Amino acid sequence: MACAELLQSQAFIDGELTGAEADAAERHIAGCAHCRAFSEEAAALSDEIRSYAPRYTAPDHLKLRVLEAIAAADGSASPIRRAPTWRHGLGQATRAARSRLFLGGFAGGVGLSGLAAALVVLAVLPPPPDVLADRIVRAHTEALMSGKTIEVVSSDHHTVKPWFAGKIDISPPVHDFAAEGFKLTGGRLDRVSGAPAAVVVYQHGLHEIDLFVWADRHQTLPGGAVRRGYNALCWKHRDLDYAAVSDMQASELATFANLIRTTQE
Amino acid sequence: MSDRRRQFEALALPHLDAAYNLARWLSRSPPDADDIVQDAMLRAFRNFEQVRREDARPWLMSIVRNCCRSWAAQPHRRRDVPLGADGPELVFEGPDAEAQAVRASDARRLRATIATLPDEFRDVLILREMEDLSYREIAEVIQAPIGTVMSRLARARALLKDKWIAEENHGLR
Repeated sequence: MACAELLQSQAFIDGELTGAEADAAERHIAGCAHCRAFSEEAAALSDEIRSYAPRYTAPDHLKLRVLEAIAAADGSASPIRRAPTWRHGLGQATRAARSRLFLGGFAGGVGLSGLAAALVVLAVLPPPPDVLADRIVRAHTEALMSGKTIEVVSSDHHTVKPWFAGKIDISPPVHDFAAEGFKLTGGRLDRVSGAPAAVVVYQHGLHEIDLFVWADRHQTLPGGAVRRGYNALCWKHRDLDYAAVSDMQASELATFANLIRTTQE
Repeated sequence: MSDRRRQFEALALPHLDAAYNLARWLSRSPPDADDIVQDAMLRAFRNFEQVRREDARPWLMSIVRNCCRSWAAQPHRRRDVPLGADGPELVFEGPDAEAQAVRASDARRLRATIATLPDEFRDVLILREMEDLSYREIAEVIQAPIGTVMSRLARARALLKDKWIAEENHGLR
């Protein structure tokens, strides 16, 4: 090394020195050509790295995976002992967590704890759009299967809208579109990937339509999606997120969504 | 959710990006970085009680680094992706399209050059320049004295500069 003070000079440009040490290093750099060149280059390099080689940020799917894995590890009574095989062991843990998340609600066995874990995980982190589409459709189908799609039965928006007040901290738009073929039948409280949601329920022929409304958490919505034969249409308006879900055809659902949206203009 | 999990998530999740960035630069493979980070977080979750909040970041980075080393020793790891060729898309502003293209190509080459640094120099450089860790924190991560951090960092910078200059000369030819 050409100068015995080089590391001290480096510490100075890295902001590691204070007070008298910093003063001394600064004076040294001013008088030592070698340290001055090194410092200038190191500072320039530092700038270059910061502007040309930015940090990678953890992708959303990884965040979700990590939360699921921690939830799975948390759920097990004793720490998981795992052979140091990367792909095999991790794959299993991930699969275990996934199956609890995605099947727990229906499978029965792991039911409640799995579902609760899913809700908590998702409350922490908004899921990516395609996962969100799954959650919305699942919330809809679970309500249908449980037979509890409606908690307040009424075709009168003066009854349905106030019902939400005090039960959830958002007030969804409630209109009856019976004349257009979409009859207001009631409302319920539900959750969309962990977030409390107001659901306004409509009937169109034999089809039931759920309009989920929840507070915007700056997550990206899927737009339109088809899951297991159900159509979902999502949009944002002001600080609320909306998702209309039904087994109607996509075009009919779009008509319904447009009716809602015209009231928002 | 258990209190334990809640505490862990509050402690560790803010450093997930830092963990991923390190894993990404050390493994040079996106899918392997995913696995490494997940494994590191699980290991961290199993014994985070003794860690103070202010030490969480270097502690977590140290686990990530150890996981990277175990991963590197695995025979079936995936092969590296082309060094530093990928990465966040950079947008360079300015009216001159040619100048923008030059800067974009510089950025790719700089990343590629960093990626070719030997592991023991690459990690201190990443921790210092991208994660802004102090010497003391880096020493904790690599489990070495501060003097070692300082000399490796100086060496990393000198190497990077030499490689960069060599690259540029090569590019000009």
